[in-house]
Amino acid sequence: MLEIKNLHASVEGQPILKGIDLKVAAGEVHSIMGPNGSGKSTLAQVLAGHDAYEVTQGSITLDGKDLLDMEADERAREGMFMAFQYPVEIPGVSTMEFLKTAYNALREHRGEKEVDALDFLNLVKEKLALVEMDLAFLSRSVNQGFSGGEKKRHEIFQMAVLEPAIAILDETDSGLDIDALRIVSGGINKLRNPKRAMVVITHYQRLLDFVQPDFVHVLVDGRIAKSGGKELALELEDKGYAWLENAAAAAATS
Amino acid sequence: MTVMTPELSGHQAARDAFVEGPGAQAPAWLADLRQAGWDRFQELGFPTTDHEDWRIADVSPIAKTAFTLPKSQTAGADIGTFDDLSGPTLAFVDGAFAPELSNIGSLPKGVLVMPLSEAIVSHRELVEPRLASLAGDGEAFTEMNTAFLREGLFVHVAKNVDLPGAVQARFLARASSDACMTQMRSLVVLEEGARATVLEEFLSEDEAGPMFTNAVTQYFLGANAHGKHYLIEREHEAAYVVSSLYVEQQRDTDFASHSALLGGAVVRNNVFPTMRGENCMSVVNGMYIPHDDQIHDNRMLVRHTMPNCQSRQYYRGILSDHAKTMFSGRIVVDEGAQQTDAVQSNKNLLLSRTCMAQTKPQLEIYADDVKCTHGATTGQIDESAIFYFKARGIHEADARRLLTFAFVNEIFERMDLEVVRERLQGLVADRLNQKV
Ligand SMILES: Nc1ncnc2c1ncn2[C@@H]1O[C@H](COP(=O)(O)OP(=O)(O)OP(=O)(O)O)[C@@H](O)[C@H]1O
Ligand SMILES: [Mg+2]
Repeated sequence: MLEIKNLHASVEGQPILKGIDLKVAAGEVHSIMGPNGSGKSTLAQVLAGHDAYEVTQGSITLDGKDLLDMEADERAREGMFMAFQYPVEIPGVSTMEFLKTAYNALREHRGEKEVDALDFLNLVKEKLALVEMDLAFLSRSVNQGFSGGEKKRHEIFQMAVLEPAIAILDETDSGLDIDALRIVSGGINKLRNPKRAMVVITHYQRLLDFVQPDFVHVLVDGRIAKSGGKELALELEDKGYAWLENAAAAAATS
Repeated sequence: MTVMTPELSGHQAARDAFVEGPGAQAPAWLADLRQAGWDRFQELGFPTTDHEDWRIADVSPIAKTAFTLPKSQTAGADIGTFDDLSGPTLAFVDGAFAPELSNIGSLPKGVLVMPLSEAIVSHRELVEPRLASLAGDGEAFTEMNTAFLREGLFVHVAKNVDLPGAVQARFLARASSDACMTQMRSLVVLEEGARATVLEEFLSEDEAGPMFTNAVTQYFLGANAHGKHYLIEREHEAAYVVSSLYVEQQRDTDFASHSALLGGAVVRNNVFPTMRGENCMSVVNGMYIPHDDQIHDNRMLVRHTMPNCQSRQYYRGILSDHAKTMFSGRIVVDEGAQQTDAVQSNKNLLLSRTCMAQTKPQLEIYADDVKCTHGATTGQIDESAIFYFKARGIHEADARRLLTFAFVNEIFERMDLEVVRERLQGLVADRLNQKV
């Protein structure tokens, strides 16, 4: 499904991603861990198509289609979804209007006609239940005044409505209390299916207790320093990142 | 400036024509009031861009153009469809009341709605002292308006009477090859405990040449009254417009002014509420959406003269092309006006590199126990918001449109007349859809 080859990316001329190779097949859940500043969000933003990040080398394909050729909106319509580490507040645009516009853009892309208002309301109600959010959120401005946890739940709710082929979840678990973590991870699990891939960026094993990954990768200084199964996350919990950082530094200078 | 300038002599002809024509047969008190206004106007002269308050709104074309009084023909005039609200509708065409385009209907007991020209004759006791109260306030255009005072909207709501819906007045300027001017004066009086909403809308037929609209509205609220005022400015883009709203609030009153500026070449919008009693609330809420070479200049003067009053100024502008705007928000808190709570916010969204927005807050506070806050921002569309939209599959053009429109959403949200709000949203969307 998603194939990343030798990806290099920089911001303002500063290289951040320094050669990433990653293959994610349909139905798989991959977790990406790594120290602060190692480039996890950068990878997520590059995948989503943020134009502040310049891809200097490598390729990204989704089901064989070249993502680097597409703007962010086109990628999203092709099935790419990124849950933001810091969701943006949009005063003046209601959550309902925002989501409906997104949903209709998707439908238009698939050659379907605009969704009927009542059908959409029913769909949205069903998906809200998935993350235990209240209908009242829909009339509020997008993310405005939402608590940290509400913003994260809102991201998962959007994923539930838009049903992407692949979802990159950037620290969707950070800032959540125990109940919210259970709700969010429950939502993620319900959205897991054999056709959908997920890349879960996190710092914490506690999320991975709920959402069990098929693979774990550790990003250090813009490269995947180690990959493994879910037991790798437990090892990191135990040992921290230092041993991988040292190894990565040694590899970089050799 | 006691010597008559060449500029003014141009308007002397119009003034003479007025005195001999539509202004003839006025009662003596009115003739005197007008004359006094004319005299003071001549002393003041037209403000120039050297004047601090007139740096942006260049009114020299008004001074230099020999405006004449329009012929006021109503046949074939199209004032559009009034909003579907209960309440009387009044049409004025080229400064004259057009009964055939109006529908005052049956009014609740205690409510008077009529053209001012009629009230001048039939309700002198209600009209005269209030019209005279603006004398000498130092605003040249207000004095000029007094010099040509004759017609406009008159509303009077008796004690504790609630006028449902809204009074709607439309002022249409017809296309003319002459440079025409109209000088409307509206008077709204809510007695103690009364409630009413008044909507004044200025529109024109297609541009035929320069025109000048100088409108003054006086709004009086007796104790405990609740009043609202809507102003919609959408005259053609060769129109010079000065519109001034004077509000007098007695104790425990609640007032809101909502305005939307879309039209005009140069528009000066003055909103001057004065709180004369305790426990008043005064909200001044508005938007301006200029494009091309339009100039929109909003000037607020909110006066707190008594304790425990609150005022709120919320103005937002969306500028495109070469538009220029000014928001000048003056708050005066008198010595005795303790526990004043005043808020002012002006935000501007610039859609081009060639437009320019200015904000000038002026706080004059003579009391020590007050809360006054003001804030202003000017900027472009938030690119991180655009990315958030795009990341959800929304086309960039749609994202820009939604975000631009969202900028004035909170101004719309304060407008409680739903049909008016929705129509305005349509007008604003039409304007913005061409810009983003
Ligand atoms: N827009 C930007 N402008 C400048 N530097 C940037 C930008 N985005 C990322 N960086 C830099 O790139 C590096 C990687 O940042 P990134 O956000 O990808 O890290 P991360 O792995 O997600 O960290 P965290 O765990 O703290 O979220 C950091 O040094 C960061 O400062
Ligand atoms: Mg990050």
